[in-house]
Amino acid sequence: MSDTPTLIKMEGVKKVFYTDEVETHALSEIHLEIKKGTYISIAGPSGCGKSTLLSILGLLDSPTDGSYMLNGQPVGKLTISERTRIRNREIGFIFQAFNLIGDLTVYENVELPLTYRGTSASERKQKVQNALERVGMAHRLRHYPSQLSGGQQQRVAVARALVGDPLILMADEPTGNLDSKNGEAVMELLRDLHRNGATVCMVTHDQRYANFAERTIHLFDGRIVEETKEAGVTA
Amino acid sequence: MSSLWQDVRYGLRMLANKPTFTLVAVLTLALGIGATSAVFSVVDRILFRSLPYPHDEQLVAFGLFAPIEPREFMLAKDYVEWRSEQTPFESMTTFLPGGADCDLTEQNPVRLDCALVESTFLPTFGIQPILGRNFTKEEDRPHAARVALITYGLWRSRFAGNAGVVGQSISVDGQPTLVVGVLPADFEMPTLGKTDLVIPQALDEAALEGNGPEPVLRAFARLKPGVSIAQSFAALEPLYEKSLENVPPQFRKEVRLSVRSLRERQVADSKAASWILLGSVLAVLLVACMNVANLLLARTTGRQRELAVRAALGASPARLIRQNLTESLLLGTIGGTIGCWVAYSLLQLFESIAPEGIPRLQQAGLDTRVLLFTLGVSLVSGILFGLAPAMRKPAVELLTRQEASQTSRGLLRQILVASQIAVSVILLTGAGLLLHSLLKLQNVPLGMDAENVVTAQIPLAEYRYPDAKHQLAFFDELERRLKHMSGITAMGISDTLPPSGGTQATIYSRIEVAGRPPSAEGTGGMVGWRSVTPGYFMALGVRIIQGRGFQNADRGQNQNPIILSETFRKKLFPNEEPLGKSLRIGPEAPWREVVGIAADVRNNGLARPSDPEYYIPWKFDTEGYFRVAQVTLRTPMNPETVAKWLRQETASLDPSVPVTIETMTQRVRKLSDRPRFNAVLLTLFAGMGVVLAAIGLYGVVGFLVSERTREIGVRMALGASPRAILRMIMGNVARWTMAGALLGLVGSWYAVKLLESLLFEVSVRDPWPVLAALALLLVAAFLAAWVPARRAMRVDPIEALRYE
Repeated sequence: MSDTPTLIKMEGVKKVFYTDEVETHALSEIHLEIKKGTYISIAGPSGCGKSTLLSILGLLDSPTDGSYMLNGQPVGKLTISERTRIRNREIGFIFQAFNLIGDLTVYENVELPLTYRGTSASERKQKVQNALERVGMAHRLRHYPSQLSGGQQQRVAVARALVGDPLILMADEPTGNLDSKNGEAVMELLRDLHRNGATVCMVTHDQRYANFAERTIHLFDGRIVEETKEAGVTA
Repeated sequence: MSSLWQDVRYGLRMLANKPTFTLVAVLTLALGIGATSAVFSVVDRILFRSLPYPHDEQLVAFGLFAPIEPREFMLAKDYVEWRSEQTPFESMTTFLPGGADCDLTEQNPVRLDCALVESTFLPTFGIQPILGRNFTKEEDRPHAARVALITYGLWRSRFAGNAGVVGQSISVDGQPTLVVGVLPADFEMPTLGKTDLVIPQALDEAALEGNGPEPVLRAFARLKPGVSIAQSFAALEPLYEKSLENVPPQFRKEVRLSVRSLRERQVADSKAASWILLGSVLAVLLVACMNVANLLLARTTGRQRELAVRAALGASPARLIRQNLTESLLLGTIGGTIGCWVAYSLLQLFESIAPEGIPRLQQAGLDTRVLLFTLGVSLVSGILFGLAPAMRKPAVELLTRQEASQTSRGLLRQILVASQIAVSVILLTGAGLLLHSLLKLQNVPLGMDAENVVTAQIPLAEYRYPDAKHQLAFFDELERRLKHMSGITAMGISDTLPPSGGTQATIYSRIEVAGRPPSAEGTGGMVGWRSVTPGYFMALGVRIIQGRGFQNADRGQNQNPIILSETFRKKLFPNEEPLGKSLRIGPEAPWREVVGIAADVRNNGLARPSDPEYYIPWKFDTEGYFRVAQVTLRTPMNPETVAKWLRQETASLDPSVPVTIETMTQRVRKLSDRPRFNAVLLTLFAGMGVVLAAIGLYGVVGFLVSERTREIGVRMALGASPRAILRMIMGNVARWTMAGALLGLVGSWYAVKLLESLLFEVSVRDPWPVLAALALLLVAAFLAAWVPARRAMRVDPIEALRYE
């Protein structure tokens, strides 16, 4: 494992939100390294900064301070366009609220990252088909999100996240809006993807699902307070 | 390309999925774009479109301006001199003003409008007959064999488009006339007058050598390439100075040289109104765009999550802007398409209510140029209203937060609503001023009683009534017969009728009062005069305020009484008793005794004060005869019945004489047609602006209420009464409305100055239209806000707090 290249390296990352005269420290002194092929979960109580960390990891937000290297490239000073390009090609997102676009069909939702990438129509078609088959939703490609159950919607969201072969899948409470049965199914899906080589970074407050990961970091008040590995615990 | 197509497809689907939004946005745009296109199709032909002559920018009207003529003219002798000496023009031409009636005296005779033009007319304007040829210089000489060019319309209607008509002889006014050519379909006279036949004016240049009266001509020219109007003016000045020497000295100060573009000559009267209407309708379009921008902003707020997802998945800012703009452009295009129908309907409305004399209104239509304009307006509107929503940055960071929806007070939306209100205040103020002015114009004292008066214009064809004797005989007999018609309480005949102007006129300083030295040179301007029968004053209800009216005895050969208008009396005899005084109009004219003073009658349109005028009797002898007479009948009877009798009586004398009958109220009303047209259109556009602003306000307040439902619920849970909630919402509305109203007041202060030339006895600072506009706007704003505000009062706190 030590020979595995590092995909993400954060050093001293801070995030401060300013609202009127109030300064909220959402993240403080985050040092984190994620190697390729790792399945890592970020756990902690509500308001501890999990989602903020995931936003920064997924280039949805920028840190106030500290350095962040993604796949060996510093991303702190990238322009909006460059960050957009990296999100499109190297990161796949799965959100708690699925965030499928209601006016697009299943096929079109999954196709979207490829469309923005400028992939040709024939290639798009093939990749979308493959992605939907991997999540078992190929039979629903003409449906609209509103015609699907929550579990099915999240599977479509997973397909959309992996259709562009990203370097890492970022999942923000992927089971948060699902019942336990559908939650389990989505977690199994993520585990399968990881087994097939995907790097997964998941935010969850549910310890059961955190255990699906081979490595869990625990956040409290914006700081990493503990890290758990399948084979033991490190402080 | 495929991604663009995807955006289009997606845009269409989004519009289909939000039918209410789409319907409101499309109808709003259709109204704005349709009104703009309709007005553009009218004013384009006045302000922008090329005239139907090659290189029309080189064409000018030139001549002298003098009080005796409302437009520039040339006296024939001057024209002939200028023609040989001028340098700025490539070619010059003239025609006789007003054209002439001429009768096609064949089977099914018909009265036509003939233009008497110089042989250089077609070459100067660059017009080529579609069949045959122009007439030659030789054919344009006195006593030459008569030839004519026929217009396309007459060729199609009378000669069924038969090419063989060229070379045929037709009978015009009883004389054989050779048709030498057919004019193109887009031919129009530079004065825009109706024309069926174009015939040589056959100016007798040799006769100009004497001191006899010379014809008045309308003169036009084509500038040499590279010569500007100012340069041509300078080049003509020496010729003008020379011509001025022939003008009576007392008259010289009132004469000036004029050279102006042909377009300016054609549209000068309509130019200001055209710009104002175009500006107004563009303001309506702006309000419509602001409205749709507001709707889109509201919708974009609702689509924050979608846009954030797209951004998270890799859509670049430019791509998101493109997608949003694609949707806006689709809306604009659909709005524009329906707008074409709106424009068509509005054009029909314009044509049905338009007064006479709006240049080329009949030609206005949705042709390729107007459709391209509509497309352009649709696309520009799409960008205009789509830009602000499209530029909103998607908040991708919200995707991983618990509260994925961002509440905003929507400052931009409030600014848009306030701006809509401001524009509406300006439009309403303008409309109010025009309506107030129209009201004053319609109620202006005429100096006569226009009710129960039927008028008839009776022109005699020159070829049938070639001299005074025949003309006098006809009108004497007509007068005799009409006098005995039952139901007629008074009957008069005159050469002209008020209040439209067009009287005969003489120079004031030519008038000589017995026992006084002549007036100083160039003083006094012009004095109008009419020849009237004794019944004229009673028929029109014009009061004789001093002395008496005319009697039949005054119409005898040696009788020369005169009646002065009150204004003329004040001018001529300010401190003297006028009755019994003698005066004459020029040294050769007979002395006339003042026998009466008539009340002033509006005699130069409704908007101008009465000009001084005098009356002389319509004589029984051939001194001062007229080929055209105006018959005035005062009658309590139905005008249609009287008209029928009148036609019958005239026809029994000569069935070929045309009679144009109108009531006096119709004639008066016609004079306010143009102001009425302007006022109606501006009111229509102001109404559209107010409705659109109200819809905008309704939408924004509705959105505000739904966006703040949770907040309202919390406030209610904490003890706020429904009334307090209503106050809170209406307080917001009041702030935007007042801000818009204030902005509108400032805008009105400057904008209404543009209306100054269209107002009658109303100051642009007249407070009433502004106050009325504000009151109307406030009522509309509060009514529009009331419905959603009431909804806020009924929010259930439990539901609201559960609300996401």
